[in-house]
Amino acid sequence: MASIFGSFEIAKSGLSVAMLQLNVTEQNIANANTKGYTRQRAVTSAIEPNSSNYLIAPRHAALVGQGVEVTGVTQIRSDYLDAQFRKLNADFFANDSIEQALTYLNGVFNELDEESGLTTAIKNFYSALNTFSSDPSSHEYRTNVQQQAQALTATFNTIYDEMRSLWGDQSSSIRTDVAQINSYAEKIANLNLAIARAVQADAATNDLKDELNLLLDELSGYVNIEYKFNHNQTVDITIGGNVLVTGRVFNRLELTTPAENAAAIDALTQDIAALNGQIKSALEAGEDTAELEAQLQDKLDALGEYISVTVETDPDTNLRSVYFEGVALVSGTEAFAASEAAESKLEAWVAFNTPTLTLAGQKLEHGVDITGGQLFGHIRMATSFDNDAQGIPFYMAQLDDLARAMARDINEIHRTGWTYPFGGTESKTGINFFYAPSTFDAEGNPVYDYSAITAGNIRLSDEVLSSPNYIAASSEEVNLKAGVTESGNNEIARRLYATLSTNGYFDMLNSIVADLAIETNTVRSIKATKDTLVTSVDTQRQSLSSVSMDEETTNLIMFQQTYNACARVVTTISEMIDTLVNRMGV
Amino acid sequence: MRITSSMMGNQFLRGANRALSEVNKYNLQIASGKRLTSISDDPAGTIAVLRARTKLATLGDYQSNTSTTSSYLKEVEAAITDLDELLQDVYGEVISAISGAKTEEDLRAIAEKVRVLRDEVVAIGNASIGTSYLFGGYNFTGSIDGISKTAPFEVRNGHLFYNGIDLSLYSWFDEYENYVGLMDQKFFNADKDANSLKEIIDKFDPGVYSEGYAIQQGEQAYKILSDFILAAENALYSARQCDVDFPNEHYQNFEKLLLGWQDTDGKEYEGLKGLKERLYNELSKEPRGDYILYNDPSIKTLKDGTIDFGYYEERGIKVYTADMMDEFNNKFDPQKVKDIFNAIYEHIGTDGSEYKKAASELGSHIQTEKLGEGTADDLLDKINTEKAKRPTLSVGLNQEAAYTINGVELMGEGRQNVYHVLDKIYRILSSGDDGQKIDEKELSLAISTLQEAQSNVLTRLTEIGASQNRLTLLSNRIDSTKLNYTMMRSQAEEVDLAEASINLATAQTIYNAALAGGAQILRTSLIDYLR
Repeated sequence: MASIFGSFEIAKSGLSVAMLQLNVTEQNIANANTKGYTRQRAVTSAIEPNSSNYLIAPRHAALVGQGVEVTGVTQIRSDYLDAQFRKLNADFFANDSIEQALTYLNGVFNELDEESGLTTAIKNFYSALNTFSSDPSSHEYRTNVQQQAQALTATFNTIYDEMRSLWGDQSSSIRTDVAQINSYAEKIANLNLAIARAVQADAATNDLKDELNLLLDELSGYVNIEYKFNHNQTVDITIGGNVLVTGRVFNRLELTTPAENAAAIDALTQDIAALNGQIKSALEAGEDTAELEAQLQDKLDALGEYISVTVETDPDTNLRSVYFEGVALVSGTEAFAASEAAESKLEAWVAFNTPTLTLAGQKLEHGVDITGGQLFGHIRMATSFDNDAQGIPFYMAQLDDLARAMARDINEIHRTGWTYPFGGTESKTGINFFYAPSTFDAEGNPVYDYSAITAGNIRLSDEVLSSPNYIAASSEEVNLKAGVTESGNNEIARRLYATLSTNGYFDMLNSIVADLAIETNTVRSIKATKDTLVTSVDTQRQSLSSVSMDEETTNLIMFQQTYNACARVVTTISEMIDTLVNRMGV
Repeated sequence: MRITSSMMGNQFLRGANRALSEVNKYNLQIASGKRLTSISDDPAGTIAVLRARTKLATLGDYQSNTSTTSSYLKEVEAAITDLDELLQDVYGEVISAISGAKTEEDLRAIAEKVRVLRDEVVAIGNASIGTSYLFGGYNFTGSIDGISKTAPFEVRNGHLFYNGIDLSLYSWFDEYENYVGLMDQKFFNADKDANSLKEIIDKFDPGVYSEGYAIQQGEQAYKILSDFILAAENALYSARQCDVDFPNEHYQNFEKLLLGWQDTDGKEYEGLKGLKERLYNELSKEPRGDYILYNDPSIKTLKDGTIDFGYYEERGIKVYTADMMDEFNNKFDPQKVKDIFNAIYEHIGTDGSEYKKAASELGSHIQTEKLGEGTADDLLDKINTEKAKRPTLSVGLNQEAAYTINGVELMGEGRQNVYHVLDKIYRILSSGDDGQKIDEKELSLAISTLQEAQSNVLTRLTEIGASQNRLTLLSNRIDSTKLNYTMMRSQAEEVDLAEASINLATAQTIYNAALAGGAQILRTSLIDYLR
C-alpha cells in the first residue's frame, strides 16, 4: 500500500510544475514582440514509479508513477530553417547592395532626360559641326563649335567624376562592412564564452542562444558564413574556410590598400631602380653582381608583399622592369611614383586603391571566398571589370573607350585639315582638336598616346581652347590674301560630322546605357526573388518559433485548470487524512 | 501551418507596402506623363527611346541642311535667271545690228549697250548671300588683303579673273585653237558648199579646164582662201590676246605666211594676202573667150599668109595680133592662176605642213609659256580644280547636296565663257574705230557662240531645278521618317493617361482594401473572448 503522505508529493509536484509552466507561458507572452525570441516550452515527464534501482522496493503488481517533473525548458527552433535563412539572407543582401549602387548609377546615366545627359551633349556638338560646315568662314558658327565641344568634354568629366565618387562610396562601404563584421565576431566570441560557462554550470542558456542566433542572422547579411554548433552549444564560424570565430577566440578581418603603403612602395621601387643602376655599372666594370642580385631579389619580394607585380628582364642590359597591372613602376634606372603611375590606367588605379582582405593570415578572394552578403556586393561594385558581373570599373572603362574613340577619330581627321588664319597667324595643319599626350618617334614625328585619355581628363587641345579659329574645316590651306582663298572649303568639317554616323558613337553610348539598364533590372528581379525566398523561410521560422497569442492564452487557461485541479487533490487528501486520523476506529 | 500574430503583422505590412508602391508608381506616371522615369524601369523601352532620340537628332541635322540648301539654291536660281535674261538682251541687240542698215553711230550705240551688259555679267558673278560670295566656289570671303577686299570675279586689263585665275587667257587660247582648226577645215575638208582648198588646187589644170570652169574653180578657191586667211588673222589676233611677248619668233613665223617675208638668200615671198590680191586681180580680168593667138601655128591663114580674120569672125573667135598682145595679157590666164596656186603651196606646203608647223609651234609656245602647261601654275589644271569645287552639305547617310555652283560652271570656260563672248561681240561692234581686222562677218559666227553660251546657262538652270526637286523629295521623306521615329519614341516612353488613371484607381482600391482588412484582423485575439 502506498503511503498517503506520498500522495501529497504527487499533487505537490503537479502544483509546482503547473506553476513553472505558467511562468514559461508568461515569459512567452511578455516576449511576444522581442526580436529573435524563440518560444519556450517546459518539457515535463512523468516520474517513474519505484524502480528496481531502489534498495527497498515494494513488490506490487500495480505500480503508479510518482508525479511529474520538469526535465527542461526548451526552445522550439529549427536549425535547418536557420541555415537556409542565413544562406538566402547573404544572397539577398548581396543583390540589395549591388542594386542600390546600380540604381545610383542609373541616375548618373539618365539619358532619358533631354536636358542633361551625354546624348544631348553629343547631339549638340554634332549639330554645331553641321551648322559650321554650311559656312566655315563664319566666326559665330566656329565659336559655337568650340563652346559645344567644351560642354561635351565637361559632361564627360562630370559623369566620370560622379562615377569616381560613387566608387569612393563603395570603397568606404567595404571598410564599414569589415568593421561591422569584426564587431560581430567579437560579440559572438564573448557570447560563446558566456554560453560555455553556463553549460558547464548547467544554467539556462535559452536567452544567450537567442542572442547568438540573432547575431548570426545579422552577420549573414554582411558576409557569407559557414558555422557549426559545438556540443557545448558554442558556435564556430568560418568564412571561405578561414576561421573567424572559434570558441571564445576570434580573428579580425584585416583590410589593406596598396595606396596606404604608397610611401613604402615608392621607397622600394627607388631602391630597385638604384640597384638596377648599380648592377649595370658593375657589369660594365666586369665585377661580380651576385650580391647585388640577391639584394634586388629581396627588394622584389618585399614589394610583392604589398602589391602583385610582374618583372621583366631586359636580355641585353639585364635591367629589371617592374610592371603593376600593365603600368611601369620601374623602367631601367627610373622609378615612378606608384599613385601617379596608377592614374594613367584604370585597371591599375582600381587595383591600387581597392582594399584586399585577409583573415587569419589568408587572403580572401572575391567570388571564391567571399560569395555573399553586403561585402560581396560592395567589392563587386568597386572592382569588377567583367561583363558578367558588372561593377563601376566596367562602366568607367566603357565610358573611357567612348571618349577615347571620339578623341582619336576626330583628331585624326582634324589633323589633315587646315585652320583659319587670324590676327597675323597663318593657316596651319596638323592641329589636334582634343588634347592628346604625345611623344616623338625616331624621325621626330609626334606619336599620340590615346590610351592615357579617359572620360575624366578629355579636354580640348590648347590651340582650340585659345581660339576657335584653330578649328580646321578646310582640306586645303586657307589663305585669305590669295585669289583661291579656300575660305568656304568645308570638306574636313563635313568629314568630322560624318564620324557620328560612321563610327556609331550614339550606338556605343546606347549600349552602355542598355547594359546598365538590363543589369539593374536583372539584379532587381534577382533581389525580388531572393526577397520572396527569404520572406518565405522567415515566415516558416516564425511559424515555428514565434509566439502565438491564442496558443499562449489557451495554455494559460489549461495550466490554470491543472493548478486548480492539483489544489483540489491536496484538499481531498487532506480530508482523507483527517478521516484517517480523526474518524477511523473511534 | 501555425500562424502567429507577428507573422500576420509582417505579412500585412508587406502587402500594404506593395500596394502602396503600385499606387506610387502610377501616381508618378500620371504626374510626369512618362512611362519610364529611370532607365531600368523597362530596358527594352529605354533602348527603343534612345535609338529613336539619336536617330531624330541626325534627321534634324539633315533637315536643316535641306532647307539651307534649298534657300541657297533659290538665290542661285535667281542669279542664273538674271544671267540668262541678260544674254537674251545681247542676242536681241546683235540681231538688230546684223539685220537692217545701221549707221556707224547706231553700231556704236549698240556696242556701248553690249559693253554695259558685259560688265553686268561680272556683277552677277559676284552675287553674295549674306557676307559670302555665292559663286566663288570655296572662296566665300573674297580675297582680303589689309582693308581691301577682292570679289571672286575681277577684270584686269580686259581679262576676266576668277579667284585669281585668268579665264580669259584660256578662252583666247581656245579661240586660237578653234581658228587653227577652221584653217585646217578650209584647207583639208570639203564641206557641203564646196571642195576643200587643197582639192581645188591639186586638181586645177589649166590645160584641161575650160575657161569657164577654170574661172569658176578660181573663184571658189578665192572664196576659200579668203576664209582661210580670215581664220589665220583671227588666230593671230587671239594669240596676241594671250599676252605673247613681242617680238616672238613663233608668232612671226606664223605671221609671215600671211604678210610675206624675205628669205635668207634674198628671195622675196609675197605672203598669202599678197597672193590673194593677185588672185583677185586675175579673176577680175575679162575672160578670154574663144581666141587664137597670131603666132599659133594652127592659125588659119589666107593664101597670102595673112590671118583669115573672116574665118574667125564667122565663128566668133577673136584673133589676137601682135599689137593686141597687151590687151591679150590683160585677159584672164588660167596659167597665172596655177602659178599663184603653186606659190601658195610654196608658202604653206603642198600638204599644209608649213602652216601647220607654224600654227602648232605658236600654239605650244602659248601653252607652255602662258598657260604654264606641265608646271605648278598650269592654268588648265587650276581651272579644273576650281571647277570641281562645289560646296555641299549632308542631307542623308552618304548623301550630299551641292548648295551652289562655282564660277567656272556659271560662266563657262574656253570659247563659251560668257564674258569672253560678250567681249568679243563688243570688240567686233566697235571695230570700226581702231582698225582691227575682225570682219563684220565674224558677228554671225559670234552669234552661234553666244547661243552655245546661252544653252550652257540654261543647262545650269535645269540642273538647279532638278536639285530643288530632289531636295523637296528628300525633305518629305525626312519628315515622314521623323514622324515614324517620334511615334516609336512616344509609344515606348509616354504613358496612356486613361490607362494610367484606371490603374491608379485600381491600385488605390487595393491599397484601401488591404488596410481595411488588416485593421480588422490584427485587432482580435483570444483574449477578447475570455470573460
